[in-house]
Amino acid sequence: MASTKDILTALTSVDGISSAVCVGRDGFVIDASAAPGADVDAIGAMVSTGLGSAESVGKELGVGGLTQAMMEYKNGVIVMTAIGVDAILAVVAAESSSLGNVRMQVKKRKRDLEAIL
Amino acid sequence: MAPEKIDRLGANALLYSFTKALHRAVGGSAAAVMRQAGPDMLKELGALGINGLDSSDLHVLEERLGKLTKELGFCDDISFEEDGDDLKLHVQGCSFWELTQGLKEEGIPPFACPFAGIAVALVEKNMDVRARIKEITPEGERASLIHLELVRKQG
Repeated sequence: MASTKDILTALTSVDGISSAVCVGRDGFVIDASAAPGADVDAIGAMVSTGLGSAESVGKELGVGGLTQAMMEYKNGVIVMTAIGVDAILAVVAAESSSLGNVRMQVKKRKRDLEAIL
Repeated sequence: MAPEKIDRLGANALLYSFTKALHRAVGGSAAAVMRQAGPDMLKELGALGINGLDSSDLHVLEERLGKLTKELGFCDDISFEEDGDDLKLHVQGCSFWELTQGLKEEGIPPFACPFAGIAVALVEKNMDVRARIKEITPEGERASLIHLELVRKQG
């Protein structure tokens, strides 16, 4: 069975995806495949609170649970999804990436991570 | 002039309101905010002139953390119990009891426990491990068990 690291490395081998991080809800970085020098602990906290905030918006507006969140920035895109109740997967992709493919890859690897976490 | 010491219940009420709002804003991810706050708590305590929290010896850290938390009125006593990859902190006479109990009554986990936040930052800074809060459970009146999992760094 593939490890968490294997799954994240597979994600960063996808064209356009530069970082993939799996974090606990508590911000604890479970594993990461990221560019050298990236502060993955800080990323973990931001990813967790970012997804938590998006979930709270959905709760307040009565639109149900969050399945996936995507944030578009000037120079890139971040896609996040919950892995079970205690973890989150986030990937960083270039703004020129095929967003459909990035989202599909995240959805596919979410199932793989849910099987091992 | 305001008194030198703030009332404990007043401080708890303020912290309770803040942490409840934080939980409402980001849900269970509020724990990630506390994880980020831990290193700053250590830094700010250092700025108050409370140093010595820089030993890799767990017994030394226990003694110094206990001394400082008592001096600051955070608790009456704190002790460590290490068992392999588990580190348990026993806190007696907790001054933040009303805060964590109030959150608990609202169905919110005690993510704002300052002892847990400080302990995680302390062991990660000094012991070359990563730490994660497994659970925080009451051990009687104003007493809590904080259970940390120590995750050894790979490579």
